[in-house]
Amino acid sequence: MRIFRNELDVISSDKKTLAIFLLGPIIVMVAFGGATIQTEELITINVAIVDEDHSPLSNSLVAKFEQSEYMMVKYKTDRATAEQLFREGEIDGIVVIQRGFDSKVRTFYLYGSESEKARLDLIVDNSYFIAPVAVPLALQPVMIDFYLKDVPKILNLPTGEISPEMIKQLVTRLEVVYINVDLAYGDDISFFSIIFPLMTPIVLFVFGIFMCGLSIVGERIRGTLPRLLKTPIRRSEIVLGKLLVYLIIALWDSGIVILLATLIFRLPVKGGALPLFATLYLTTFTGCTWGMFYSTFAKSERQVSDLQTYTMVLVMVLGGVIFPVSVMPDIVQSLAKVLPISHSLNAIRAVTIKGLGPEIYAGDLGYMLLFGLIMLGLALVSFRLIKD
Amino acid sequence: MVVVRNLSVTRGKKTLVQGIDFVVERGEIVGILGPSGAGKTTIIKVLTTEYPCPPSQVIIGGHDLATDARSAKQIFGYVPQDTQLYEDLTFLQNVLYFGGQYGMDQAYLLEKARRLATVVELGEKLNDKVARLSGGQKKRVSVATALAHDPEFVILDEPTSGLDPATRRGLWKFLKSMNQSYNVTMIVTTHYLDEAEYCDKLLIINKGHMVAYDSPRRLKGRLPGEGKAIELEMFTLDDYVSAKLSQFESKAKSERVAEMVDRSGYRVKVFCKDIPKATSEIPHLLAEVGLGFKSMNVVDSSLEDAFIYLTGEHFREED
Repeated sequence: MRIFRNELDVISSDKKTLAIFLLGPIIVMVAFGGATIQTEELITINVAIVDEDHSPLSNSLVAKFEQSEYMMVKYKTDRATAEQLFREGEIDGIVVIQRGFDSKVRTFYLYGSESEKARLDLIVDNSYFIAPVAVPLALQPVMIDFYLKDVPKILNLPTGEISPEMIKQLVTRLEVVYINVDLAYGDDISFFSIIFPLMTPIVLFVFGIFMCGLSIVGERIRGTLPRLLKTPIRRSEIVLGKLLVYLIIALWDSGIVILLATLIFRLPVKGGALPLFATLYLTTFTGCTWGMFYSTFAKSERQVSDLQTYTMVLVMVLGGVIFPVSVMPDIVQSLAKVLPISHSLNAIRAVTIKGLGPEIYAGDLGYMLLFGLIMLGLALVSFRLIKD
Repeated sequence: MVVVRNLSVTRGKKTLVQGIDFVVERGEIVGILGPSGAGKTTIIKVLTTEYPCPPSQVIIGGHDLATDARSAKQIFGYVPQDTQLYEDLTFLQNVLYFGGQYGMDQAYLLEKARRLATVVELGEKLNDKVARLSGGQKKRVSVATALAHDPEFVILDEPTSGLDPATRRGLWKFLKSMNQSYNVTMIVTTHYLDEAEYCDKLLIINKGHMVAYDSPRRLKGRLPGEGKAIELEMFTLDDYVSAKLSQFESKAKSERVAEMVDRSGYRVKVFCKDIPKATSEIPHLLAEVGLGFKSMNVVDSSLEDAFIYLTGEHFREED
């Protein structure tokens, strides 16, 4: 009982640790719940619809897509814009309703399966492992509903007039419309190549936090900080000097990750090793500056350790590792975009599997650099304000 | 030279020290003496720039701490109470690291470290990790580290705290030799009265107020009896004797035999201007109140006596 009371006294006397204990789970659960609160299906994906037919039937099909629980129609646009959004990672797939869709569907219903089929092009992001499965899955119920309800209604066909044979054809073989599936970025992508962009940002970011999180706290624990602060050295020099060491280590981390991933696990780096290195390095940089920020105000190893754990869970939830950012509510998506993880993920995907040019990921890299510099600024201000 | 003018430090609503006023000349060893909570650490924190101070209140080597702390830091060295060294680094690495913060050349620091290691009698330990050294050795490494950049003066915060008496004496011998060899000015806090004797001047503070600032000899000289007192050894010191001594004190003061009677210990000290007169009258006064005594001697006054005389309170050492 004495031990219990003593431990209680110790914890309650350390306000920062107590705050971390009490607020940490709340923040994590709010993030976790907020990220999933509007999501019934984890395979919901974002698509753009390109309606090249602009007909009553194509309009009806677009409306059907918009009502679907399994796909989020984020854009209704032309093909060029949709492809640009697709390259930028804004959407996971494009559904193109080809010109002549309306007339070919009508012909099918009137003259049967011998007529020329209407065509629907489906472009799916194969670098995002959910999309190749999710898009066709999402399409199926939409199309069945469209065949059985919308088309007969628009064509003024009583549902009873559709022959049992046609229903069989419609439901089982979906032969009304020819669906052409194009797996973008190749159909031979390894599982490692898909997982790499998801896990590497988290690993490097958290590693950066772990490296720098204890740097200044270590001085506090050793008791050397007060002595150091009585020398002419500036506080900013302490922060920058320590950070520099870890940024040099980060060079090795980023380099060795690329070497192992490419040489042993055959990661394709279609966009070039240098952009990938820059992405990984900037990811570690953001983790380092974040950790340095913690280190400036944490008083003990315990505080840093708890902060690191909660941050790791937070970035895993909001970074799109546990489930995609695209299924989260808009406000949580905005929050997720504030974190550098989702930008790192975008850039790594663009550089490795997609092999896209810098115009696609330069914004993400710039954001990570800015984020790291802001965290560094916060660390400098925090260390200046903290009384040591 | 260090000039402290009318220094007051307030943290929150609490005034930690008030009206502190002293000047430290080059080459002096100045001790800041006071019981626990007197304000010694506060003064050290101001001198080492940990606590801010208003302009013109603290000038170190011509640099006003309020406006030019960085220049002031350049010319002083600091020896903290708890060594504050990198235990996983060697003696040499610590000297190079801390010395390097002052922009000193590495080659010079290397040479300086070797010389300092010899001076602190740890020449063979230069490449040993600090963690492997004893408490006394760590203190010496700490002092050597503070001297690496050739400071004009060194601030030592209770450097002998936690050391055994022999090590304390050894460290003071070393500090004195450093002071004499390098003309290093030293400001030392201590709560050991015997150590205060090593200082050229003493700043006595109590409850945040400056009580006196003078040399130990002159501080003792301020006592009546010009550095001498009469010490009475009683047979016992129970409540009865204590009550009788109280009567004796009143009587001795009213008859101007004694100016102050310290009856806090087993021995009773009587401070008076005229020692010969007092030695003849004290036995009569004790007899009048019905109190016997074991012995009576004329002894030298101590700094503790001076502290009691100046503050009206007893000095309590922390350890």
